[in-house]
Amino acid sequence: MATNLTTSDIELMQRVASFDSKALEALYDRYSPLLFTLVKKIVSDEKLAEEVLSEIFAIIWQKIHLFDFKSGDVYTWLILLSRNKATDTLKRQNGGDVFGKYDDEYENNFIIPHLSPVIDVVDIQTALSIKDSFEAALNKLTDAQQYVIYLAFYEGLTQKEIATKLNIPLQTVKSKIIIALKNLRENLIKGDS
Amino acid sequence: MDEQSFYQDFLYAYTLGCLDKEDYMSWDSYINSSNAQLNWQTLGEYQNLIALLPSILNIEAPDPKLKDTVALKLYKINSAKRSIKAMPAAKSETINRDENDEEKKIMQEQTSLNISNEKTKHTEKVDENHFQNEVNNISSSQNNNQILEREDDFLKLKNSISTNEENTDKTQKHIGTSEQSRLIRERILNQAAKEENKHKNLFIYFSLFLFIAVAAALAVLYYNASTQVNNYKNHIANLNKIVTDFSSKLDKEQNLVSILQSKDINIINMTASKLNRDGSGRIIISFAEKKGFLQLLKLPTLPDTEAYQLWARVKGSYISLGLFNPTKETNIYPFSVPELSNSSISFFILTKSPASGANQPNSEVYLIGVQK
Repeated sequence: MATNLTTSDIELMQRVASFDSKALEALYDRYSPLLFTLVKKIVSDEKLAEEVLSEIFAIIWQKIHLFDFKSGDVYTWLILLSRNKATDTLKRQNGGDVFGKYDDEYENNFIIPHLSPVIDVVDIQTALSIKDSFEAALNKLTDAQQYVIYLAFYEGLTQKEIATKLNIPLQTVKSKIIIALKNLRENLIKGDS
Repeated sequence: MDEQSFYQDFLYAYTLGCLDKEDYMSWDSYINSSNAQLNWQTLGEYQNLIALLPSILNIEAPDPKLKDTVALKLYKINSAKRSIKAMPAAKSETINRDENDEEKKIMQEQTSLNISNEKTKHTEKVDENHFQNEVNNISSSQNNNQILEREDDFLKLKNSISTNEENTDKTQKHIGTSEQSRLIRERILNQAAKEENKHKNLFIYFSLFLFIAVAAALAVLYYNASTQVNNYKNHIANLNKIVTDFSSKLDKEQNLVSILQSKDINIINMTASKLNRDGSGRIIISFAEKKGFLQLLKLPTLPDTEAYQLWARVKGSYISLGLFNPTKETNIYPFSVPELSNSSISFFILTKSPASGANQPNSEVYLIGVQK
């Protein structure tokens, strides 16, 4: 690894913004296992997952200026970027409904995540350290709530698509998503305390 | 529900990445508008929460070779960028002329914007040595065939990237500020809205066509069904008639059987007169049962205004025993017998009378039967 673990995510991103390839390599070493696991979970194919992951790092390299350095939440940005790219690839491969033709503008608006300007910084060590608490919080949700989250996050289905797939009213799906996320947050807070 | 609460509910689906296109467009317009009053803290919290989802997966490292592939890919991107920069200005102008009107407009907007010097530095600061080392590492770790394959890939990608790179550079400049990004996003959303309207129109036409087709199909079905119902009604009427005829026939036959079983049965054969030499008839009569049957054979068919009338000659006068009109279906006709005895009748005659009957027989006698 070209850069040690004491270098923060945001420092690495700042160096990547200066086209420091060693910083990108360090970022790759730090995040590629988690991102690869996420992408592979979504696309369900190792070779395709590798392709998508290399495209994700190309996006990071080329579109680093679209990262909000003020928020500094590299972990969440990378996870959501990878999720968006992988679900979009999956949908295009399966002929699913996407928001438009894949070009630069589409990538800037629908693949690159737009984080809240007010957000706490999470890093990968923190995320992995609360893994058990998070899993416990997730498991406290009902099966239906967990499944709705799974369909949305990992399969990239929209609310209407989920309603169609589960043969339930759209309003029910919307309510389930709101309740599921609120409960997940509550469960995590209670578990931590 | 006020606007703020309405969009607050969108926040969860947006965070989870599952907003539908219409909702996404609405949400995007709202959060980019100046009057957006969103709880940004909540949005940030839920974005972090969702990003924790993959943390519970069993982490699996990618193939170590993938790192080399990524390094090579980035090296190619940088090489392509350098080659684009080295292109003569004349070529750039030619490319610019090929842009469509909309892109030209954006290019004009760009000239008024300050393109970050930092970006220019980015390209220049690229650690070329490091990438070259990566490539050297790759070369030393791969066999010759793999190297050739990578070189082929490199050439192919370089050609394709040289075109794509122009767009990338331009777009990076376009999105140099958040205002530009907003404009571009609005343009995408407008295009999406136009496409949406187009789809809606298509849907309306299709629905109309479907409605007409269904209405026509229903009309045909209704016509066929009503025709079939009428046919069935006619068929039922025919069957009823047949049943009625059979019932009538059965009644006659039962009466005939009951007469034939009685002890005082008389059978009188009737012979033809000059009016109808081929015709004949037979009377079967039971005075005890007060019933009788007349069988007519080969008699001419009469119009509806006329009928055959059977008379019994009793003590110098004629008593009418009934009116009959032979049909194709039957030739045996029942009749009632008044209080008479066998010995009081001298003979029977069959005459032609009006359909309503006559008080006395006329001279048109068709059959004559004498009691023995």
